[in-house]
Amino acid sequence: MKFSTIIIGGGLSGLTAGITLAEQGQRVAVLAAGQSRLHFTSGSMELLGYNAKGEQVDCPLDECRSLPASHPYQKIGVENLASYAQMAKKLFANAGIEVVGYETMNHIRLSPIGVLKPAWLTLGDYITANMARQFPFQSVLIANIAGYIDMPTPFLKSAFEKCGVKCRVVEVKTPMLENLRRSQTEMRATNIARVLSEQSAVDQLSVEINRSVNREQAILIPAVMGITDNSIVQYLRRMVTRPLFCIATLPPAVTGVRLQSRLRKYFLSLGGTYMLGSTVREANISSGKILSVAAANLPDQKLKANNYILATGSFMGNGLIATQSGVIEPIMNLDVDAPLDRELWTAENLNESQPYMEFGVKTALGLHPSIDGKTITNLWAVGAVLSGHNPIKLADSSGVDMLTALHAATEIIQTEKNR
Amino acid sequence: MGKKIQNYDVVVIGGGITGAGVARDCAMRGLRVVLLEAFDITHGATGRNHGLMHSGARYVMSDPENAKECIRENRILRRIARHCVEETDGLFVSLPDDDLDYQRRFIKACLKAGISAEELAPDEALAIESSVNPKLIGAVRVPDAAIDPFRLTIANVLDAQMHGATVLTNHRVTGILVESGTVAGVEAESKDGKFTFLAPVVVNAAGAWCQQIASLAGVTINMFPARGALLIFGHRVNHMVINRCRKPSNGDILVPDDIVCVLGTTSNRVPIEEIDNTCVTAQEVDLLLQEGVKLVPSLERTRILRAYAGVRPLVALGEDDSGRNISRGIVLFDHKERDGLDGFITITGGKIMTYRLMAQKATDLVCRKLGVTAVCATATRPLPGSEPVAEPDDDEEVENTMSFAHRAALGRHGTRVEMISEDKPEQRALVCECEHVSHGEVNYAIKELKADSMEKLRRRTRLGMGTCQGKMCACRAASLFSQADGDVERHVSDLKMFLNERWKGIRPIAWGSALSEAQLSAMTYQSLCGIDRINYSSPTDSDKQ
Repeated sequence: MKFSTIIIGGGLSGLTAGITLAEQGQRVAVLAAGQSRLHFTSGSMELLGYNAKGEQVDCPLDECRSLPASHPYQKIGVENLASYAQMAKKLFANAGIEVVGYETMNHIRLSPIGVLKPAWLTLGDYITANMARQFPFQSVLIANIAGYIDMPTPFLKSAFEKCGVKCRVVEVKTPMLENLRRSQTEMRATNIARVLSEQSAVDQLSVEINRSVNREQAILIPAVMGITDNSIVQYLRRMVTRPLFCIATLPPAVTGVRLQSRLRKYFLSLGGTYMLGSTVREANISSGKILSVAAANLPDQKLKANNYILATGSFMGNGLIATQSGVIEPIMNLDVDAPLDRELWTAENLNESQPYMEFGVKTALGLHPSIDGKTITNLWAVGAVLSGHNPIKLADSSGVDMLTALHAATEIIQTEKNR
Repeated sequence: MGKKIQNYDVVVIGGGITGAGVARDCAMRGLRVVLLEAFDITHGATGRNHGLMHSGARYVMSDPENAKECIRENRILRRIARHCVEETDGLFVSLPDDDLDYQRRFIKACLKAGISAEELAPDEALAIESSVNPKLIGAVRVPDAAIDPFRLTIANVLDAQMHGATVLTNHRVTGILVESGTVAGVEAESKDGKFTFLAPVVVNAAGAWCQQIASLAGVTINMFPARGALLIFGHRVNHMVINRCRKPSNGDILVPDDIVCVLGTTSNRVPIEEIDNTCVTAQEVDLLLQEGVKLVPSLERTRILRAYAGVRPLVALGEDDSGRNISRGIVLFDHKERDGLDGFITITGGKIMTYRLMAQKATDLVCRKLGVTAVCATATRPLPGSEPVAEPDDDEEVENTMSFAHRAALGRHGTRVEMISEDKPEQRALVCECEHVSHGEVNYAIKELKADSMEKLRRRTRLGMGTCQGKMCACRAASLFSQADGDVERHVSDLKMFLNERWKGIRPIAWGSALSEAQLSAMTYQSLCGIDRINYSSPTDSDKQ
């Protein structure tokens, strides 16, 4: 099988690159191993939430200029970030994903435990505040689903009250949801979303919510609806008597699954090839170029392309593997930025900056990785597999995922034009 | 909050298995007893060992007297602490590097000490325990078993309380009161202030901290703190306890523990100032793995959940830097005879296996000092949770209709599982999916077992101890605590601290899937939730370390 570009990894980064290339008419294949980090995210995207000192960032584009040279944003050129950020926003719009937010000014998202964190883009159905921590309502009703324990309402109530917002918490029960609750483990976000995908179930829910609301200005529910798109959330919004918004939950994240699925569908609609369950095991490399790759589920197929993108993620995506004696990139054994001594990988306090978070594939020239110091010219590494930044401390993970992917895609489009 | 000055017959210092056993024995003999623990019950070596219920075989070559004590107590615990014991039996395995002559002498010594020891051919051993290295050259079957030290200690504490004892956690002893050569009580501190506990007898059962406690009374004890590091694996690869049949050394015991297994241990003398340091080094991990894989090869491919270390409360006698040759026997000091200080007793050394006997000896001495004639009944009276069950047939049926969580709780709390309600759907909801801890069991632990922090909840229910290491359940539990008392800041801080405690055990083995899971956990709690951005000063800081 021959493609213009093969992308290894089907998460946010891989799909961003895939969509951008497919929009330009390229023959693109995305080889996806399985679950993506999106399934653990919040419904918000972050470009740069904090600076190196740990201070909250208001204007992410401005602050990116002061990042160290090792940061992926510097490698793709901070002068390009504004246009990539615009492209990313357009990509969401094209894929039918409604987001709010600006690259020039962060806003505040509410975390599942009530921490207020800076964000770049947030799905339209979530509650947000401005950077002065002002929410658009003076009083809210949190309507949790009885038995749903992955949204700690006491923490959220306390967070709202600290911001001067009156908050009342109620638990709503409906016959269809109570039925689900009979099993000890069924009250997980994705299972609830399955029940609440039917209008009849949402009708029942809206009756209970309307009955519970008093004088509150807005209704907040856990983000447990709309696993494929947000139409059912829109439907509920029409059925209730106050503006209704979602609050991020602990994993699994229904809207993360939704995001992944919308992007994948859009990619497929552009003619892209998405191969799920394809863990790439090896690459055939000669004179600084990848000739083909092979996936574990298609052992006899040589998958060939002019260009390759590595978007396999960090340790949790198996894009990097730590062994007892070192860190490796498992597909091509690319050069990595990580010390051999494993006592240097971690810090004693969990909440300190953990060195391993910055480990990744070494890219000397732009986003091209190398093997034994020799650059692989038709390979681009994008997203969390890259070294040089701490996604937790800087709150920049989705920005790095998307903007590096857009940079690689832009370069590949240029390369193909010149071909 | 209790009164500032309180009167008792006896103060017991230390909430490990020894202190809990002494408190139970004293209370059963009708004494008014208070147990003071600086952190939480099982905080020290009691919560940081294999959970091996020795038959005594491991000590039979070096210390036959100790071995005899072990087998006697082993038989007693199978009766009185049934719900804390899993009958697994043990294998002593000889590998090609080992000496079969040692095995012959070992069997002889076991039989002489009254420990059954059945020699098995290699293929017979493999047939009953397939995880063992197939290159083995010999094996001996002994009556080792697995014991849950948390359950055992909690059951002793519960029984002590049911007999009228007061048990105070987070109460650090700061002074021993001495009046004209006789102990008059102790001073202690908690977050609620300073307290005085007056009593004519004080029992020092502080484990590795015995030396510090004794120094408060002006008495010198030279502890020989010997640190042991252990690894917990994410699966139970073995059915039986597996020992190497050689002179005790590093990484030569693998004990099954419910759904996981524990490999131990190392033994290094540590300076007395370092006994609070329970972090495991990379060298210790490498050493344990290197030896453990020889015994059970599949460990090489098994995920390690965490590493931890405990400090054995041994007492210095000779010149041995590892502590392996020091007797693990019971040390009971009557400081009147030893140092001229009446009313002060130290009970240390020994091991979990012999805790009941240690408690009996210490309590006998307490009674002599108080002129009390009541006799010890701890060897025959079952612990709460292990009471005889009337009609086993009916019970089996009940068990079949129980949820998984209720069955897991039955294992943890024995007959007291009746106190955990499953009637309402919110009580049935699973909080910890790895260990099957229900909302009802969390409520039981909060109410009946006085769990007021995440760490205390973990020690009483196993919440957060499974393969996910708290990723899902920790936040749920913190939310339940907040719902119970409304103190959000305290429980969010407590959650943060709990995750940091879990991390301490993950850090030494942070490679492979342990590191990817840690990253996922960090992405959840820090990136998604922002717990690292929270900085409340917390009254539960005393739970730390």
